[in-house]
Amino acid sequence: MSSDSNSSVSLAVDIGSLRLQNPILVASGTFGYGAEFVDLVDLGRLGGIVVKGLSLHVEVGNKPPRIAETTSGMLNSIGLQNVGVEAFLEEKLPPLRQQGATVVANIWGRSIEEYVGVAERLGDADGLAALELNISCPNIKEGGINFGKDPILTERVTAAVKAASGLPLWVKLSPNVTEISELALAAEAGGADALSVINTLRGMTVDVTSRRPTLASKFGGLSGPAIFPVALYMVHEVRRVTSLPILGIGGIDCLDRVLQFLIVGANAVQVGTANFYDPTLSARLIDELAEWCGEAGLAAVTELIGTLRVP
Amino acid sequence: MVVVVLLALEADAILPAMPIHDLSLTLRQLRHLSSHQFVLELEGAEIAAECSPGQFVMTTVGGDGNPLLRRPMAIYRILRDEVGHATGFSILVEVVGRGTAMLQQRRPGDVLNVLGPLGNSFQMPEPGSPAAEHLLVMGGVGAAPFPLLAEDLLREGHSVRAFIGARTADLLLCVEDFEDLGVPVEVSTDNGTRGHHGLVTAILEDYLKGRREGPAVLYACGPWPMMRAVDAVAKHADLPLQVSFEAPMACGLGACLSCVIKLRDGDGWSYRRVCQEGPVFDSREVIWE
Repeated sequence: MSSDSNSSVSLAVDIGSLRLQNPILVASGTFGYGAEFVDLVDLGRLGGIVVKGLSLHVEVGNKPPRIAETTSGMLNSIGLQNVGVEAFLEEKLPPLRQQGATVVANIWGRSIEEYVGVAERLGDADGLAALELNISCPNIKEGGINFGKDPILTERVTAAVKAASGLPLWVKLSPNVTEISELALAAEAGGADALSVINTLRGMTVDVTSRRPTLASKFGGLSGPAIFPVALYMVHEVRRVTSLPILGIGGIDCLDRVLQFLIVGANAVQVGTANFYDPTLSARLIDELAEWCGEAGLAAVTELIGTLRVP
Repeated sequence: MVVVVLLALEADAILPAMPIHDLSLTLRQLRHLSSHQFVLELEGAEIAAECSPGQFVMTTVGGDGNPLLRRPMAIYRILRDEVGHATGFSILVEVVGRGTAMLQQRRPGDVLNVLGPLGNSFQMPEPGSPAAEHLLVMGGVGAAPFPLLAEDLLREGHSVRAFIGARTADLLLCVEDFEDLGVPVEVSTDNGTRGHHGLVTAILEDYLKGRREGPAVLYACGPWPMMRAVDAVAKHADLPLQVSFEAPMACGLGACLSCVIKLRDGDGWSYRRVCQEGPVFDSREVIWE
């Protein structure tokens, strides 16, 4: 590797007021609370770690089987199992901070009050860089409508969380909608500082012998390389309607996918499912990105962002 | 850096006992045991030297990203050079689906990406604890982690006995491994083609009935109904039992939360990860349903 030319390439990106040392983050639900990967990845080198989605209280999660492998992808229905916000602050956050990691807390709730409760608790904490809002959850107080499918609910929950915490707020959009750009605008109207695009795609598989769904909870979220083109298209759609920073997520398994996200307008990316089967990928991508930029004659990775050429 | 972290937290919350390695390992040999059972011998001295009986690895199966996920495999035997240094290890595989079928197609010289050693291990008796009989009960490919456990127990001077079950005689695994170690073996087959005609729990129960008093420890790995039956036998005989589980998992590192089973937790229960808190559990903590 030609480290001399690489070292002069700036990989820093700004996500609103937050400067990240590089645009390679790891996605919520695919990297635990970071400590799981401490033998394999220098956590302090990553652009950021988005931790497993946190709720106000401990969540036990769904019955197994919780995963099913699909062609170039996987379905999961973990059921948002997590330790709860208090245990996160006491047990999980301190070691992450010791490692020098940039930590983003993904949060979710079943009502706006629950979202606000988590955000308030985390807003007081030292050592968090931002909050990421998982809005792909049913609102049990209002007929179980998924927050992320309804522009009005999306705006309301975003505004409520924004008011409850001083931290930068990223809203993670669901792809299971007709026009993702409408939801992007709703989140922006609610005060989002950035958009994470996309969460998993709804899917299911069946075991033909038993004729039962493969997952105990019938359906789940599809992730992995299979969803990359969908995710890239949705980043493109969101970029058309907003100038908010975008974190591109979906099917990154090599540098080429990172570059494509950046070219269509993502300001940073999150590596997801690949962390499961290639746990050192995120760290390698940082080096590969620097090398690629150097060879392409770029002084900064930001020169690549949003440079899609449309004939 | 690591020391600072350990001070800040319980050791087991942040670091496993031994570091986890992600290695590209060359396949030395593939030995067919039956039409759909085989042994893969891999390089990987780091994993071999540091692993304990019951631990596992996550391995790619070839196919360049399809299938996507690595497969969890118990560490079967440690491969040693003529002076006894660990140079690699083997895994014992039964073809159960596309991933294991692809593993069977690998050839010496092929490279697999292997993550390990992972998970906890069988709990060994405290040094100096009273002599006990260690009874290893296994069904099908669940036999894989037991020769290594037997080796360690024998090295510490313990008495070991193996009970091996399979559907048919040609599918019985590890019989020769135990015979080579000098461990008495009793076998059962579902169709009666070798040993007892019936379940492995029947030969275990018979043995426990005829056995003289004294401490004994049970270990089991195999299909869920078999382990559940061994649990009932252990409870009836009031003997401790360690059970090793397998479960579908994506990462093996504790991050994906796929491989959970129900364990008692205070007055209730909680899901615990087979890859992290397991794969070996005290059977009294398991909720069998």
